[in-house]
Amino acid sequence: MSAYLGIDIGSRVVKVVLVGAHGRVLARAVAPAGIDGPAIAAELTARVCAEAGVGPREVGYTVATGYGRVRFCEADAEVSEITCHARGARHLVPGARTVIDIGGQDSKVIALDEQGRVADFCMNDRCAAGTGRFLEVTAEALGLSVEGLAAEHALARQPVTISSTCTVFAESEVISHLARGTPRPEIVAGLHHAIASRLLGMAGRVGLTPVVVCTGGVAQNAGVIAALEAIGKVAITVPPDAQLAGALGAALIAAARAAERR
Amino acid sequence: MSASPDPLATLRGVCEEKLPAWIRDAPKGSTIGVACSYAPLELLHAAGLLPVRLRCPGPPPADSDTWLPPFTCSVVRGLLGMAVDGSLVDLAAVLLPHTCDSMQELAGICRLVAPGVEVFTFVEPLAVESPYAQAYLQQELRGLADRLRERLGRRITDEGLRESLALYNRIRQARARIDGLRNRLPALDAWAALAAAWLLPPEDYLEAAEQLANTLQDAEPRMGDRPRLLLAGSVIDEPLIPALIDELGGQVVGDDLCNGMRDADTLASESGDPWTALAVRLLRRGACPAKHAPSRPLGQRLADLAARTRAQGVVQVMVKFCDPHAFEVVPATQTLSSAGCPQLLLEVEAGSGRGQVRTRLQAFLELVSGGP
Repeated sequence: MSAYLGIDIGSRVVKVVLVGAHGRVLARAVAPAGIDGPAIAAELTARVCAEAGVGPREVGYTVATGYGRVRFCEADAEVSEITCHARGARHLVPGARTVIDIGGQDSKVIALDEQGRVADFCMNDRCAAGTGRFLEVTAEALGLSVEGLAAEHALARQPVTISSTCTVFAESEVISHLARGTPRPEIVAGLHHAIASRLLGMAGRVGLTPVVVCTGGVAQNAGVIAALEAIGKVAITVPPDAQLAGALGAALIAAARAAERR
Repeated sequence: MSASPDPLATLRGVCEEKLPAWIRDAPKGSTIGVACSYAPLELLHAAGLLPVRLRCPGPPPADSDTWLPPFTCSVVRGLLGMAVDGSLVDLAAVLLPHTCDSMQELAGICRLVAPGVEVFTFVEPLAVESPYAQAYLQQELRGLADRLRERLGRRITDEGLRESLALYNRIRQARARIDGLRNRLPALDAWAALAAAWLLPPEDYLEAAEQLANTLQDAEPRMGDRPRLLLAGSVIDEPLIPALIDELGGQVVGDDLCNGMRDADTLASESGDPWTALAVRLLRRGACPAKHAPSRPLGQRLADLAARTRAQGVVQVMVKFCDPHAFEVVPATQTLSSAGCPQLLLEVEAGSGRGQVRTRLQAFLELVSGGP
């Protein structure tokens, strides 16, 4: 059996996807990156191969992507996360024309042409504003887990305004709101609106052509998606396995490269 | 300088030094640091000075915050750092043209923090196409010559200025030859070969550049079908970006950079009044985003250059907090988009991290190649 590996070594999380013929997902795995993403990637690779019953020699091609891609020496090739997320998102949502990827420490907006190729992109280039890390820091200040943010957002009547896009200053604003007795759901909704505004400001450079797809770990936060839809006035599709889009794209590119090599 | 066995090594070597080592061996009082490509190099050379561009690789010093607001670019911060740490003491003087407000303010701050450094300013016109610009600029050039005479005892003759115009014309022609032979050079080597024009004594650069161009002329093209990029933007003082383009499998087919080819498109007339010739060259050269040149907008120049060099994409490198460039980038981006030219905006500063720049360049190369 031929199989192809996609390994996305992100700044916070490592994702590995193994696909077989025609891009069928055989196995997947996710784990925190810790301090040695490539080592975690090697562990996850062994795990997905074992789960799928694929021996090391049966892996026809491996593509690494993400922040730690350059340090993962076992890959046959490294491809940027922009290209991989685009490929993965288009596979998950065939009509996708815009991909908003919100990762742990960066975010990007990718415009796709009609054929699904990357036509333009932009990435946040200033700080953690608009990233998962922003939510982690501010959730902690609120005494919440990241996973609890969406449920809290659902209880909000009116989001407060969080004016700082700097994570550190936003944390100070959150503490000030708490001190004033602002209900926590409204602060959470305000944070989600802040992150959405930052992302949509960036998206203005490349456009928001429907179908808009959101990928990355933060895509699992329904509060952020609701804020993006409300402010951007656009429907957003979150595919299952949104967090795995980069790794899936890498695996699909690996399969295509293997086919070219034959 | 005798003929170098390896001119490229000479040109690359000077780009690796923060302040070129030759300055310490030059006759005392003979070198002048300049901070902008609008500095009238020919005039300085005719005054018997050796102009050298002040470059600012690496992160700017933390104590620059003492003197400058936080929205000041790393170029100005780096120059201030050189004034503060004593790097400029081997120079006879420093010339700071009025490139932008930050650069102008820097002149005043330098006088405060480094009172031993002789600082000259040069206020070239911003509206370079104004009917009054040439008369004003000639007056400013004469004024600078007067100040050089008063403060450094340097005199300029018409004949001397004419000879310097001819020398710098030959330098621009040599740079143009190298520019036209980029398909024989990796991006990093081409960047160094052109940036060195601002860092070596002009006679030494000319010799090395002509020698390199002759060597390249006889060499086979070696960049093959690598994706073809045009590199545009502010000054690139560090090798990071061209080195990454090489590493990621791209090639640079042309540039519009402050320390690249931007000023090399116009030669000075070698007949007639040399002061007029110098002023006309400065006004007609490729305009920097800090200038107002409505008939020659940056975007159209980039689109034309991209078409001429068959570039598949344009990488615009903007130094963070460079306001003139940031405003110019918006219409330039629209023009390039209308021309169907893919583009990447890289906002960087001295000492920028490698990871994010590498990801963006890699993705852009994948984009212009039509996929990974």
